[in-house]
Amino acid sequence: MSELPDVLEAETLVALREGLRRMPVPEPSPDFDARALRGALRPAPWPVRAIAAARAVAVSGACAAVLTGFALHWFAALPQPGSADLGRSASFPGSQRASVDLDLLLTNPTGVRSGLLGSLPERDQGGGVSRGNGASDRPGNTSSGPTSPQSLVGPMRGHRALRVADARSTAFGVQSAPHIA
Amino acid sequence: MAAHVATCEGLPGAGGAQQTDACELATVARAARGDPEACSWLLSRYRGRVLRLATMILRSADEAEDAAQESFIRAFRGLSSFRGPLGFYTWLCRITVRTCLDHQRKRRPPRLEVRAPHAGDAEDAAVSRLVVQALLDQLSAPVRAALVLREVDGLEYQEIARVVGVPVGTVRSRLHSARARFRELYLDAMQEADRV
Repeated sequence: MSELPDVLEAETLVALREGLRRMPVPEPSPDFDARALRGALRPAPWPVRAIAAARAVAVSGACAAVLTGFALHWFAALPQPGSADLGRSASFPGSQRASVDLDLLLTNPTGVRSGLLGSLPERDQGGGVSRGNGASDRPGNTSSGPTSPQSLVGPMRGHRALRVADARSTAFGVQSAPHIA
Repeated sequence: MAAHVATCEGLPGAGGAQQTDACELATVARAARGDPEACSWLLSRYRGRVLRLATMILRSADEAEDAAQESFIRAFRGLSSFRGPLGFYTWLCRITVRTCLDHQRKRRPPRLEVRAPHAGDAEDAAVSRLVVQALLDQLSAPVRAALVLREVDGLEYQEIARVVGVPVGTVRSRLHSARARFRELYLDAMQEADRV
């Protein structure tokens, strides 16, 4: 049943192809090739060449401008050699001050009066603590004078020790632990 | 050089398709460097096909010759932009179709040239030729180009899509519609002929 349309379709397709092939095509004029060759080998008129050259210059100039812009942007984003930010990690915003305080504490502990440890209780001349909690107010603590490294390491107890540990953990980007006595 | 062109001339019949393609690509490369003999060889090989395509699209012999000539000039001047994967004839067809469409845009109302059947034609052949003429007059220029490229030159749908600049699916559907329209016209004409 479906063979008849298929045959008909094939027959009309053949007729279409035959009809298209039999369509008259004009004979080319005798100088067809010569004219085409002359036109092809003749140099293009100067406005066409000028436009092509100008287009090439414009494209290369635009590319150079874009590349220069990217390079300048990249160099501007780099830290300067003398900058204090050089080498610091931007991922820990609080680390800068904490590390400075720790550096001061470890290299020049006597001069630490401000910053993170500046708010810590002062040691009085009598060996006790003038303020703060009572955990470090011990009778055995008889060291006198300003804070020394030994006094920070040895007799440091309770609140003060926790504050220093807190500062260290902040400096290394670790979340501080809860204050446990 | 002349020997090389002569070798290429003999290839289509004797050698394989790959050999012919390689020879053609070499000739195209020489034509791109401005070799007149290579240009002449390409002209002699594709002149008839380009002229037929232009005639089918424009439906005017005079305009078709001008358009074919302009297509060759454009092609020879732009040979440096020719890339191998798209065959040279497909690339040339694309230039021809664009040139013909440019000509069609510039010209005033389309001139329809209806020709009487040749005396030597068999009756069926004459009918099919007249029906094809009627069909071509009803189709748009890009569809006429696609029809000729498919049914006469045997190009693949993908190549035709590249030439005409539309998706492959569009080419398929338009050609299907054109064939269906031809079938209607052809069957009507055959019935008419039987009645007479």
